[in-house]
Amino acid sequence: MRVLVVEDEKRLAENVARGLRDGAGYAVDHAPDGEEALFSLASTEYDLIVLDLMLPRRSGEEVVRRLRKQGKTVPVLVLTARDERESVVALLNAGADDYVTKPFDLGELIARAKALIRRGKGQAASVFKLADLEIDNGSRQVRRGKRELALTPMEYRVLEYLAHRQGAVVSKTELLEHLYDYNWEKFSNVIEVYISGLRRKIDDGASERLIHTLRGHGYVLRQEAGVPLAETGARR
Amino acid sequence: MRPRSLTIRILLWVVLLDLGLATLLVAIGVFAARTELISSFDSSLRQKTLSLRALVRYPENNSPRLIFDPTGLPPSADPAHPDMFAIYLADGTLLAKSDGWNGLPSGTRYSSGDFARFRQAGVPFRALLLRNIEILDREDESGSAGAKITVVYASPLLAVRERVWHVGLYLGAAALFLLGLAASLTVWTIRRSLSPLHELTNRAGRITVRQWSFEAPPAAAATPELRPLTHALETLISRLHAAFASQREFTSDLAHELKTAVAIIKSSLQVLLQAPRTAREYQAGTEALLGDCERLESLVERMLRLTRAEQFAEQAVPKRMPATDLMSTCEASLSRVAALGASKHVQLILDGSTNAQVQADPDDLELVWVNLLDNAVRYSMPRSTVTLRLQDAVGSTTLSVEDSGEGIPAADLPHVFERFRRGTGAFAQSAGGFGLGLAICKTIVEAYGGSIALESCPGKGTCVRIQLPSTASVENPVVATRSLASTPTTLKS
Repeated sequence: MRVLVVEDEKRLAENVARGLRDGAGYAVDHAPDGEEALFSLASTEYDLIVLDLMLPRRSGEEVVRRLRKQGKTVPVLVLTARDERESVVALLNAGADDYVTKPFDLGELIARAKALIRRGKGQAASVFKLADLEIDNGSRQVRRGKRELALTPMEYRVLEYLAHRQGAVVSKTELLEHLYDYNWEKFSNVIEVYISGLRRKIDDGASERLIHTLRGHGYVLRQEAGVPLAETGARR
Repeated sequence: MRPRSLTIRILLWVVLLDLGLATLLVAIGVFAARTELISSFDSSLRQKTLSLRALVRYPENNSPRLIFDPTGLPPSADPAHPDMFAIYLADGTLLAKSDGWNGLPSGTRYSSGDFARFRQAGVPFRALLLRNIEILDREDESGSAGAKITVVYASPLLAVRERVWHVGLYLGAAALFLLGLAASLTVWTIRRSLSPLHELTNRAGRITVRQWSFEAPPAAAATPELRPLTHALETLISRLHAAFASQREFTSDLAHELKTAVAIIKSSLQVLLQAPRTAREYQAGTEALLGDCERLESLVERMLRLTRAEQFAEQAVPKRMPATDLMSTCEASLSRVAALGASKHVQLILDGSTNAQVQADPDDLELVWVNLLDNAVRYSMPRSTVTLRLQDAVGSTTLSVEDSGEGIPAADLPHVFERFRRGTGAFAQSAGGFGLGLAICKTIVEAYGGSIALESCPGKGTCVRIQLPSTASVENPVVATRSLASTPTTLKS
C-alpha cells in the first residue's frame, strides 16, 4: 500500500511516515504543503492520504475538495488540531473519510489507516479469507489451513495488496507503485522474487493454487475452480 | 459614602420648596384677609361711633346742657364682650360712658386715623376717637352749627381674630393637601422617568460571559440624558467583544501549536516503542525527542513573552520606564546575533549612530532588535549582508534592519505581523519558526508608542523599519546627518 502524508511539520510527518512504514508496512511519500500534495496526487496512485488540515499555500480542506472534484476515490484521513464539531463536519462534508485529532495515538492512526484502505478496496472485515487462506490485517498474520506462514515484510505487503485487489489482475508496475515510496524503478526485478517466495509458502503442499501469473499482464489472487469469487468471499 | 437615593433627594427638595411656598401663601392669604376684615371692621366702627352723635341731644326742657340718651345705642356684635364708648363735651368733661370703659390703658395711643388698639381683661379691642364732631340735635332750628363732642368707641376684635384664624386654617389645610399631592406626584413622576434607566439596568444585568449582545432598550435610547450611558455601554461591550474574540482566536491558535508540538513528541515516542530497537536507534530517537522538547520550550517561552508584551501594551498608564540608550541596545543585539551570522557567513553592519534616549525597558528593545536581526540572518544568502541602520529625527529615531534575502511574497505581506503566520517560501518552511517573532516585535514597539513597517521585494530582500519616540539632544539632527554620511561601522561576524 502506498500512502501520501501531507503535513507541514517536518518532525510530525517523519514520525507518521515511520509509523506507517514500520507498523503497517506501507510505502509512504511526504508532501510538505497543499500545492505539492496536489502535484503528487496528479502523478501517482495512492491507497490512502493522511492530510493535515492547516497547511501552507493550500488548506487541507481545499486539497480534499480538489481531489473529489477530480473524481478520485482515494480514502482521506485528516489530521486536525481543531476538534470543534463544525470544522470536523465541514471536513467530512468536503469529502474526507475519517479524522484523528492531534495529539493522536500512533497505533490508532495506523489502525484507522488500515481500516480506510480496506474499505477503499471494498473489504470490511479485517480478516481476509479466500478458500482456506486467511490474512489478518490487524496482526499481519497469514494462515493457510492450519499452517501459520512466516512471511517477510515485503512478501506480506505484496500478498496484502493482491488480497485487497482480489480477483483483479495486478501488474508489476502497479505493485511497485503501491509498495515502494520513491524510485521504485530500481526495484523492478525484485517483484518476481517476492511472488515466487509467496507462491512457495502459500501454494506448496496445498490442494489448490491461489496465486496465478498471467504472462505479460501480471498477477492475480483467486480460486480457479470456476467458482464465482464473490461467493467464495462470502462462503464462511 | 452614605447611599443617597435620587428619589428621596428630589422628593425632599420638592417638599421643602413646596412647604416654603405654602407658608408664604398662607401668610399672604392671612394678611390679605386680615386687612380686608379690619377695614370693614373699621368702617362699621366709624358708623357706630358716628351713630352716637344722634344720641347726644338737648333735653326737652330747652336746657343748654346736653344729655345722652342710651336708648338708641347700637347693639353689640358680641354680647359677651360688649362694645364700649365714652363721650366728652367740647370742654373736655365726660358726658357719658359705657360700663366697661376705663379709658385707654397707659401706653396706648391713637395712631393712624385716630384708631387705637388695646387689651382689656385679655380681650383685644379697637377704638376710634372722633374729635369735635357735630351732634345732630340743634339748639334752635336756625341751622347754626351744632354742639361739638368728642367720641371714643371701642369694639372687641375677637370676631375678626377668629375669622382671620379660620382663613389661615383653611389656607393651611389646602396648602398641606396640595403639598401631599405634589409629593406623591413627584414620586410617581420620578419612578416613571426612571423606568428607562431600570430597563437599561436590567438589560445590562443580563450580559454574561456567554451572552454578549447588548442593545439599548428603545425607551433608554430615546432618552437624551441616558444616551451617553447607553453609548458608553455599547462601546464598552463591543470593545470587550473584540478583545475576547481576538483572545479566543489566539487561544485556539496557541492550542493548535501546542497540540502539534505534543503530537510530535508523542508520535516520536510511539515510533520508538513500535518495534524492538537497537541501542543506537534509541539514542538517535532520544536526541530527536530532546530537539522536539526544546522546540516546545521555545514556543512556550515566546508565547509568554508575547503575552507579557501585550499585557504591558494594554495598560492604560505606562509604567515608569528608565531612559535607555538606544545605541547600546543595538550594539548588544548585534553582538548576540554575531555567532549566528558567522555560522551562516552573513556580515552584520551597523550604519549610523545615535545618542537618543528611549523611555523603555532595555530588555524589550534588545528582544526586538535580536528578533529582527535573527530573522534577517536566517533568510539571508551566505556572503550577503544584514544592515542595522539608525537615523535620528526631531522627537523620534528610525531604526531599520535590511537584508538581501529571498524576500517575502506579496501575498504574504499583509499578514506578516499576525501571530502564528509563517511564510510560505522555501526558507520560511525550513526555518521552522512559530510565526511569533514579528508579532512580538509589533506588540512591543507599539506598546512604547512606536510604529513598525515592513517592505519586501521577492528576490531582493526585506527591510523592517521601526520608528520610536525618543528624546534626542538638540544638536541631534546635525549629528544624524553627519552620521549618515560617515562610513558604516562593520562588526566582525
